[in-house]
Amino acid sequence: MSAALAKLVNISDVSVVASGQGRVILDNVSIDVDAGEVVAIVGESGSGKSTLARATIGLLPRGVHVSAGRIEVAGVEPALLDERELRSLRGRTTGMVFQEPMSALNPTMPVGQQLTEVCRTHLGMSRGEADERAATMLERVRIRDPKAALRRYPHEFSGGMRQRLMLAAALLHQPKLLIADEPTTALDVIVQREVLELMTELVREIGAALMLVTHDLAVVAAYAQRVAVLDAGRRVDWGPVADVVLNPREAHVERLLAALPTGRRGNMQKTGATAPPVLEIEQLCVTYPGRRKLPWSPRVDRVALQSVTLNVDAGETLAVVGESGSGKSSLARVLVRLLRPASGCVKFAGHDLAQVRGAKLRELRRELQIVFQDPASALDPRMSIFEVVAEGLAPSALGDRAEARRRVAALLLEVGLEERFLEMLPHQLSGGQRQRVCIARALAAQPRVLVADEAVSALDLSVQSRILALIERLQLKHGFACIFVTHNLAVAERIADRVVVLYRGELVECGTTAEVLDRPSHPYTRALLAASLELGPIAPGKYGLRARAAHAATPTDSIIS
Amino acid sequence: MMLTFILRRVAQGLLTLAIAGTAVFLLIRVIPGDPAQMLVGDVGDPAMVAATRASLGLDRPLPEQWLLFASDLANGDLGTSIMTGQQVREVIMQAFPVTASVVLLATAIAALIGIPAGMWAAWRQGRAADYLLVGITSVLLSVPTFWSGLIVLVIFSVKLGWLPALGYVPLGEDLRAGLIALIMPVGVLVLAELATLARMMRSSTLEVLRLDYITSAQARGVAPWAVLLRHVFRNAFAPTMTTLGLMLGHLLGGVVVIEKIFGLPGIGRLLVDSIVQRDYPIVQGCLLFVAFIFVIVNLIVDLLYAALDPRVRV
Repeated sequence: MSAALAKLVNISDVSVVASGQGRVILDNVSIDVDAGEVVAIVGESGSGKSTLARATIGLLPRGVHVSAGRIEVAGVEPALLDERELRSLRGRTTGMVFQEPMSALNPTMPVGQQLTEVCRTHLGMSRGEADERAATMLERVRIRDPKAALRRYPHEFSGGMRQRLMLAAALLHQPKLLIADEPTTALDVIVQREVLELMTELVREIGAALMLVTHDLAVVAAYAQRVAVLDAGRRVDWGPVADVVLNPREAHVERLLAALPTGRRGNMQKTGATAPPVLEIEQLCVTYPGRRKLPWSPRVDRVALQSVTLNVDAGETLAVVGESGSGKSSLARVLVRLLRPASGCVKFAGHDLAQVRGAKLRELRRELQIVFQDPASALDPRMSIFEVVAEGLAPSALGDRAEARRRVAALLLEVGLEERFLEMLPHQLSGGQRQRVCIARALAAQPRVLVADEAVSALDLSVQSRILALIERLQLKHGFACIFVTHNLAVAERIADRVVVLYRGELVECGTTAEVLDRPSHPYTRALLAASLELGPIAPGKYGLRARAAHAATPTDSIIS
Repeated sequence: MMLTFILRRVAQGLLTLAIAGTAVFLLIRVIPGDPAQMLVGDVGDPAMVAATRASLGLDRPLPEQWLLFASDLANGDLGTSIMTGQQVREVIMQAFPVTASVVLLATAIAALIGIPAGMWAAWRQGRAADYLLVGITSVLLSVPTFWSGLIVLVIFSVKLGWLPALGYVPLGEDLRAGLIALIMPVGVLVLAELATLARMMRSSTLEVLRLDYITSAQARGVAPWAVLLRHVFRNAFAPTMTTLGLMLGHLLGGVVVIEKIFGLPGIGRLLVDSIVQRDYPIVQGCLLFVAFIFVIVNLIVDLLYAALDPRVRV
């Protein structure tokens, strides 16, 4: 047992199947984790990376089980433990952090109780002792006034704070192994960096190992020592980060790296200087109605956008960047008049959108299309793809069904879907295919403006890069202006002519991509650039982390490998 | 904050009552059939009918009638029965405890069995305990009370002779006899309510069990009973509580079928009998009372919501 004893986690030749369908989720996967080491498990959605993490502590969902192989954690095999022993393993040796900080804390229980549950159950601490320990831990994850925080409920904290609370809960009992399943994917760039730094720092402090599940290769490069790459349940590569990611040797990893958004769009046609802008946004304010404390007290509205002034030129791509709550989605919605401004106006083709109604509004709306973040909920599950896309066609085109079919088929072909998709239902398509359908639906109306609200952020990297290329190609062909809302700076850089930065509802920066990303003037933009973790090619076949030089005047990025 | 919330809900409740009261007032006056004519009987003397109508205040303009109605109501005066001359309030107060004891007892038993059963079935989803619960509740849901009531009556009173078929003894008078008289009606009602509550609880528990914070609790090594009690219950109970509230409000307004079958002098029977006899003041009083019960029960449910879920407290 001497060699195996040194390993904290030893997973050898493990296969996991879903018993109902006999589907193989993991196929003969082996990895190991040393004490105090950071090991990343990386892969696209459906690769089985979360399943591997959960299998490690025997926490597989119902109907899913390990069919072959051996898992060992701190010298014991979870598979051989009874319920009580398994709970004790989870409560003493391991800790786990989840992706969604919003849903990983019980909304009806004070934070303190959730934190101390472990210590009281498994370490036999009294309430006072456990509270004391929790307060100390909260201080270390930088929650202000920890004693008071313990009595508060999860909804009183922001997303980043909740993830830090989760981190505190998972580390409170000083586990030997922390499993983090996409811990920062749902967070803003700056918060993501903070949480990652904090997590690795704390893990080092208490000497725990970290098993980091992620889809983000930049995170892997920045924080992990070794990495396992999974694809469709199989381990395609495994080893030190330098060998696997930075100098890729496997074709699959190379494909993943090639899909990273890199490069900058050349500033497009400067010829349109004389053409009037397609959208004129003047002093735009958007508010959401607040609640009155008492029926007669004044209503306190929440301001989402504050006097934003901006023009969008015909045919250009404008990236809107900002953290959650900065007002970028409100801007997207008000531009296609899903929202009305509280004051100020949006002018499209000479009309103030808030003033237009009836038939004229319907006509204008056809020229303003939007693609949403989540293609799964943007498509009616009961409508066939033909019906979905045909809805975007002009009503006059719908009279002749054969003609409508032909036009829809042509549109689908443009977004890269063959005719056989016409009669399918949305659930039969993959995420990327669904987003293509959404784009086809938007194109059907021949819009002059296409708003993409985080249209690629829910997609896998390889799918994301194909969709970005598709939007670019279609834009060149059809000449619509594209407003691309994103929190990902690399995506913005890749696709946009100009970048707008929103911060707490205000437009703090606006300029060409080069101006904003290379010579940022606002402190928020600088912080954003400094926090972003990006991986890019540094030499043929070699990749490295790129630090954006926030103050540099030169347009070239400096590179750390 | 909490006080504002309570005050707002109470105000909403009062408004609901005012609207319901006006609706009842109008309904009684719109439906065909003249209570004055009924009271006088088949005499055919128009003068006598007119005099009766005047004494009932039915000859005055509608707004005036409404004002009169509202001020009486505010004083707690629901009028007197046309048939017996009894105070409507007293008649209702006699009938309500009968209905309330059956309904409250049955609901409490159904909740105490159904809610844990539903949660347990969800925890064991797809296994024997779950299938058993789903099977039993399906059968219970498809059995109407008029049928199960009669069957129970035939078996336990007629065949076995264990329980009295009819008759009601107030619990305050003779606790033992009173309870014995309640066994069958309460039992039949429990069977009907149990299935709904268990199903409701099962499905909302299933929804909560899927959430990250449950997995998170399990990843912390929390025992199943503690997961169910501490983490699941408060989050999954809300839909069941709404159902429970609607159920209680509905049933407290009278369990007509059960009251009829087992000969209980409850609100449901009172209402049906008064409708047949066109005893409008009683019908009106009963309807108002039912509305009142509904508003009270739902007010309590709303306040409990806030107690269960800190996010509701605005």
